[in-house]
Amino acid sequence: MTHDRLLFSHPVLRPDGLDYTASCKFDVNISVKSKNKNIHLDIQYDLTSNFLNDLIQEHRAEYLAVIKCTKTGQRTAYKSENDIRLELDGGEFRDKLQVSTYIVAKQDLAKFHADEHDIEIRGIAENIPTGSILALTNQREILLDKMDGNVQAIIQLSDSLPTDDWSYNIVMNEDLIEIKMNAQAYRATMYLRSRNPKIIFPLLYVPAIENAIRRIKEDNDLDSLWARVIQNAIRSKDIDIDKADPNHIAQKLMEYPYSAIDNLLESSLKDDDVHE
Amino acid sequence: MMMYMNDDMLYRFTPDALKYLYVNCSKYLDTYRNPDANFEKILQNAGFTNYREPVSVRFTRSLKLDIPNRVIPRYAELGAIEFYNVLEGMSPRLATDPSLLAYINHFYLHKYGLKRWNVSDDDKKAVKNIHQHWFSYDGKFRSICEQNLAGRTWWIAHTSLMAAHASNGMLASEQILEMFVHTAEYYHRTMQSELLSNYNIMAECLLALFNANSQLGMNSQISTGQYLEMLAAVNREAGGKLLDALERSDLREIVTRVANDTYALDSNRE
Repeated sequence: MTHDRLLFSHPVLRPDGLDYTASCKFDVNISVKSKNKNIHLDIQYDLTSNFLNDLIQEHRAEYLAVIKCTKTGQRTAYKSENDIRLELDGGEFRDKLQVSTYIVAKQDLAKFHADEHDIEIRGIAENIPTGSILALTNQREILLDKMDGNVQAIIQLSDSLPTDDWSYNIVMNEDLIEIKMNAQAYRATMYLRSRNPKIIFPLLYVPAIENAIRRIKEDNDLDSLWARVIQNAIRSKDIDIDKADPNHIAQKLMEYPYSAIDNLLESSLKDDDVHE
Repeated sequence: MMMYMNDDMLYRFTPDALKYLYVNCSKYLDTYRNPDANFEKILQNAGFTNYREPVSVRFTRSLKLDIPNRVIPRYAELGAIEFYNVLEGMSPRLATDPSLLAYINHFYLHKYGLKRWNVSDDDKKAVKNIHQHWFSYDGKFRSICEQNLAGRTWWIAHTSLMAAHASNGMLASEQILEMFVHTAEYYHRTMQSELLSNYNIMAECLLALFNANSQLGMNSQISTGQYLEMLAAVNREAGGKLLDALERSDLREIVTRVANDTYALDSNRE
């Protein structure tokens, strides 16, 4: 739910709002980590309003974080008077979370007026009922690492390359790594993948992941989904990203896909036996 | 109609296998209409040597899913909680995975599905039936929990259990499930309502509904329209305040008052 555009009958501190003086702000910082299939959320509230701060200190108002997942229909609210650290069961959610944060009235508030309120609306609301929204931030979306460290799943093949040859391009998108090729190459690749997925790993996936690792080494603060998944995978395999060669790291993350050639060789030798 | 499930570790379809079946189901309508369909054979004949991957879900024992009433097939969902309990390791996240649900539908629930949701004799309609009930390819929550064979069965049970838990003993899961099964629209509207995605609020609204129906007795019940009206009225009460922020007693007071007004019940009756 978003309350960005709702009109209230009392002053509410919100982004781009005019109900409070310009010096008053309410914001939130959210950091996310996945650990053992749980989701750790650190929610840090950033409030510069003496009036609202006093209400919280007096236990007449509190922070409220509402966490919602539209894919699984889950919604839960967390109340606090300070920053909050949550450990959520990853099994309850899919793809993304929406986090809405508020300050709400814990009890009926009489004579709800403050010097921080804009002069034009100061004193318009006499009594604010319990549960009323006193402040809100913009809703945040958090993409979940749905792949649980499975680096294959962050690679997407597409047939959108308008070429006649069998080249492919690796594109680092916001969420996924896209390997683009022409339609014919795509059909052939999908056919091959359905029969023996490991064959295409060394051909396509390893170069794509190597590319990603090089980008991560250049920029530690990348926040894209593919960067988080690869970094999780590297940590889980105790690889030192600073010391190991990116190509070798990529092969290890894909569990040495070139070993698939061994199966092919075995099958090929069996065929030879039959013909003899 | 009975479906037995073994003590199996479960799988999900690979993306390619799922896509193949979804896109090509019109070619296999005879198979889909056959209660003894062999979907593994279809995939193997299409060249899939690897059509599935394991998931951390298993059936802990055999289960019978009956269609006790051929006139009203959805009464089979009275067995939903048993189905839910038999699936160890399932979670909301996995229960919205189209490839896992499709695997269960094709390999475990197919025979049951043909009785529960008819596959039309008209080929065009049959494809639509199969897409709706065996696949939910788009992964949308609404289609999974309302139309998908395994999805609906799991979610109607999960919702009943979660709401019962949130009711703090005021409602049993079986009572909620029975309400949902007898009047499917109660279930659909509950699942569609963003307001009710908070289980505490859901529990209060379902409790008010149950109490209202109990007052009306066997020969009458709250209509879907009245139920929706009540939800809208509760939503209006929210307005500039968050129901999520209220203490339980305050929440109950609001919902009870709104329900009594909407359902035009005698608020003095217990």
